[in-house]
Amino acid sequence: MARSFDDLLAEAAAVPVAGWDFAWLAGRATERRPSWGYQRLLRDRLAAASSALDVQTGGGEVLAGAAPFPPVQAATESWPPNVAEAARRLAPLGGVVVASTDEPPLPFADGAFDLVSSRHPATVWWDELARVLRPGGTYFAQHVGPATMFELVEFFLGPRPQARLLRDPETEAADARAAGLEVVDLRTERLRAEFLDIGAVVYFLRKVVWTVPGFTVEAHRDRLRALHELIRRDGSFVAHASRTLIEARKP
Amino acid sequence: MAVTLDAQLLEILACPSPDHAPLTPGTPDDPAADALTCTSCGRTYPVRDGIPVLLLDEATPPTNGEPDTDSPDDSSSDGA
Repeated sequence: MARSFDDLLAEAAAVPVAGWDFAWLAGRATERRPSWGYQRLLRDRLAAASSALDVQTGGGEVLAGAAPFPPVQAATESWPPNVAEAARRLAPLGGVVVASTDEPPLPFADGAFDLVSSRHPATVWWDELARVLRPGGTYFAQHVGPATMFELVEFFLGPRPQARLLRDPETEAADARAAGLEVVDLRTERLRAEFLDIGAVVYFLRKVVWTVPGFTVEAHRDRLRALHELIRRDGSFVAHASRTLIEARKP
Repeated sequence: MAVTLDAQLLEILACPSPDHAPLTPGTPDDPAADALTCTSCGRTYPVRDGIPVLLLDEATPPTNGEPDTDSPDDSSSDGA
């Protein structure tokens, strides 16, 4: 028997949402992965590097999965709970976590690294990345792309034409060039995501808090009920995540 | 316990103030302390559980007599 709206909401509002493990959504939501396989490509680049930095490493999950590390592997993170978790995960692999802000300056010398990586950085400071790269060094990253999950965003917030223009890959490439880097790879993919019940939507919006800023079950109950009815009618709600792969070289 | 950061890492760590000056292990009073001190501005940064905390907010200002010429906060405020 189908579970009630109130039941699904109560369950999804109570479940813990810390960290970046989405296993709770198994069987209730899906999201395609980018075809390029960021972690595998990062592993190849780490294998060729002598000194690498991972910026905004989060809990270090993605970087750890790309080990082994070069002789010098540093990672920065600003959120204290993530700093501790990343250190626990990366130290046994030879990585050193540095607590820093997400804003310039990075606490590293000029030309310190031949590889700087990042997955889903909240902000990208191109001049600063170029500064810590040595000549011939590479910035390799997966960024959140333009208008990610906007079907979901606009269902709750209404049309957001200005926000749709943010994170444009061509703009990012132009910013990289302006900082003196050569863009050697630039790809963007739209990735189908599907929510099979309203509880999965609530879980996602609680966890990925910037999707619908200030989201709470109480404040968005009417829209949640409308979306619940839509999922009941159509079988699912489909949105699209957006990701950009960018590789830029310092001449 | 003294800072046991790798020498190669120590070479590339820098003060998060705008001049990115090199850091040296310990504090001026205790070279064995779990800390890193900026060779230019004299700020001291804690190293906690092997994690260098390179945040201006958590730095200890230099002890008296040492110059602190590069602090962005030291310019005369209030336009007075």
